[in-house]
Amino acid sequence: MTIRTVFAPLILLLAAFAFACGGDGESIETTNNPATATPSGDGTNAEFAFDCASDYPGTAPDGAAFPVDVTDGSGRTVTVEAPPQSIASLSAAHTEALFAIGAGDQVAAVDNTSDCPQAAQDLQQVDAFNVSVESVTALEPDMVVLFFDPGDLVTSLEQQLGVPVLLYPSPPDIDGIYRQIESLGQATGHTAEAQQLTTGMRSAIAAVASAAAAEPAAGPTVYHELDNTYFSIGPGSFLHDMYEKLGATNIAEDTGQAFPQLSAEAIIAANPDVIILADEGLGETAESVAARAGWDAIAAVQDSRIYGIDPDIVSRPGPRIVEAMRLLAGYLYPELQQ
Amino acid sequence: MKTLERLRPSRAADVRGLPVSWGRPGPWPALSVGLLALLGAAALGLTLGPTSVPLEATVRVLVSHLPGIDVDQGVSVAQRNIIWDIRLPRVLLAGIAGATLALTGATYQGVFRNPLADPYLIGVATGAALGATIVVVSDVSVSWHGLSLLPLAAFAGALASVILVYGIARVGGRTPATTLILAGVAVASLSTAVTSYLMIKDTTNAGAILSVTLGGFNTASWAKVAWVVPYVIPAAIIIPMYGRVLNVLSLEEEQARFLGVDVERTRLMLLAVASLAAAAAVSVSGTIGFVGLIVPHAVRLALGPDNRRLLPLSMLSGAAFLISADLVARMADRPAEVPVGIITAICGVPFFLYLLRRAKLGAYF
Repeated sequence: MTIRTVFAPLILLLAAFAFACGGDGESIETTNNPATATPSGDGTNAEFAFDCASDYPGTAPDGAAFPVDVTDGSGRTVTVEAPPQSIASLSAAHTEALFAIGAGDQVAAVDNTSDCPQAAQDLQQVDAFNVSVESVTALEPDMVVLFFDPGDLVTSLEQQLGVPVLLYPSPPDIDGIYRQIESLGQATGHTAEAQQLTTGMRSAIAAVASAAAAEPAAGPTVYHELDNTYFSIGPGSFLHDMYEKLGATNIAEDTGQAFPQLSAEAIIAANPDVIILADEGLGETAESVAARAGWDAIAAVQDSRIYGIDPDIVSRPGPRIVEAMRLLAGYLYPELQQ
Repeated sequence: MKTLERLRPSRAADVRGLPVSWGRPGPWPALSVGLLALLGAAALGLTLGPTSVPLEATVRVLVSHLPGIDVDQGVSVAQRNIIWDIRLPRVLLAGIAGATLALTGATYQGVFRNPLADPYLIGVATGAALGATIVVVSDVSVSWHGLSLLPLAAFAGALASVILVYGIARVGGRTPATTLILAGVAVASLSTAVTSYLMIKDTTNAGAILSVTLGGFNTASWAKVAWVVPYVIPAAIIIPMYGRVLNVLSLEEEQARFLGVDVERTRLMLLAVASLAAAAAVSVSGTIGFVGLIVPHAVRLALGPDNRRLLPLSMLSGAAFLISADLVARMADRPAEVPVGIITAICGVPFFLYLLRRAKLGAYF
């Protein structure tokens, strides 16, 4: 009883950001496909790539666009007076987006999960999940980007620093990711580049989706595993939207929950064609899944269609979702795999 | 009605309206009711689930596992697996955990003479959570005879915590109940703090730690059943044999001593057996609250404080209750799961409060 009372608030908080973030800085080797792989070789979307190893040089922000009213991912409207020059980005996905839109030089500090692109690793770091108001204040940022708001952090940072604090929680669909990137573009003086990035992402994702739709095989059913107690993703998470765009049927769809825990027997009864493991970092493998009692009746187990995917690629609502879509397309439609 | 009640001798049997003029009823009526409730819950647990398997197919699958019988031909592999590999171990594990938590709860309450005692009082739950958390954050993935390291670590953590608490509280060959409880609460706070710290530092595994903490039977397996049984059987046999002794222990310690009970030894033995069983149960079920505290009290309210019937009835009711709660956990939001601890509280508390209001507190405990 005691343990529950003590943990209750903590658990809610952790559940929120564990799933929102998907993983910490440790990158897990899970895929053989290069990030820039094109699913069908049709070449139309080959140009879009976001590679952590690449350089993302900063460009000058458009000062004429300021002051500007920016609506962040939580629906708050914040006035930004001038282009920020020392942003504290405490969200791995949004650090990637900032570099991708040419605002990398304006980022002064990041959280300890912001490991991509490589340039971000050289910046000052603060803890992502136990954000210390004091250490953020000490960085003297002129803008703060957050993906969650534990214990009134947004309000206290705003009062403490008197600078714009932008909150971008995990969006419910892919369109939400585009909106967040465009909002970041406005806030940093890179509106055009943000627009360009989302346009590129849109067409790359559309290309993957149409390649998937062109497959003669019917869309497979899929089970996406977050951990070995069968937490999964459902409607209201952008991951569900990704599977939907790829023509796959998520077996967790009927739950109507963004992050449901599925019954073991419901998974067996749903008989998914493909199983995607986002929990290889927790020791789950195709072999360990196949060895689970009763799972031998599942098509994905019988056909050896169990694939691990790096949660840093698939769970961050940023430019890398294009790579995630390409990887998933290859797993869902074997003919698309190069 | 009121007058009638006043006229009756003040006896626990009153509460259930049993005929008092013939003296106390034997334990058999209550035991039969408990057993029936348990069998009913188990039957429902096997036949209902988020996926519908026809009753006939369920029976076929179960019967086919008897030697020499093979009647599960028309049943799909998926349905066979759901019944035999998923539902049956799940029902068994929930039953074993429920029986263990309720039995050990009743034992702790008797041994400590404290109505607030539950199986987690001297650190079993928090120790188990810490043990499991250490394994999760250290990224080792070892399995032993098909069982992951997690239950083993939880078990070790639970035992370490209990031994530590007992060691602290033992002074000069005696272990005062108050010291033991306070030491238990203190050590539990410490391990909770360490678990919280590890959880918040290790964001990748927060989900896994969260699952351990919330508990449940979604990942029940035959391996887990086989693992927990050897620790639970001794408790299920030994503790009910000590019903009379527990009755004596619930008197003042001095009186118990006069009556010829070696208080210290008996208490130590009962606590050891109960803690071992509780630790094993928690290691496979997670820390499901409430069952160990409330089920014994509910039985006590219904049947009176005599440990000779309280202990076996707590076992049966605890098993029936947790199997039913787990059934609700997988049905309420199907095909999604609801943490079973939430169900035990939501369904159990109103029932308990109803019993509490109805009871004549003078006759209680």
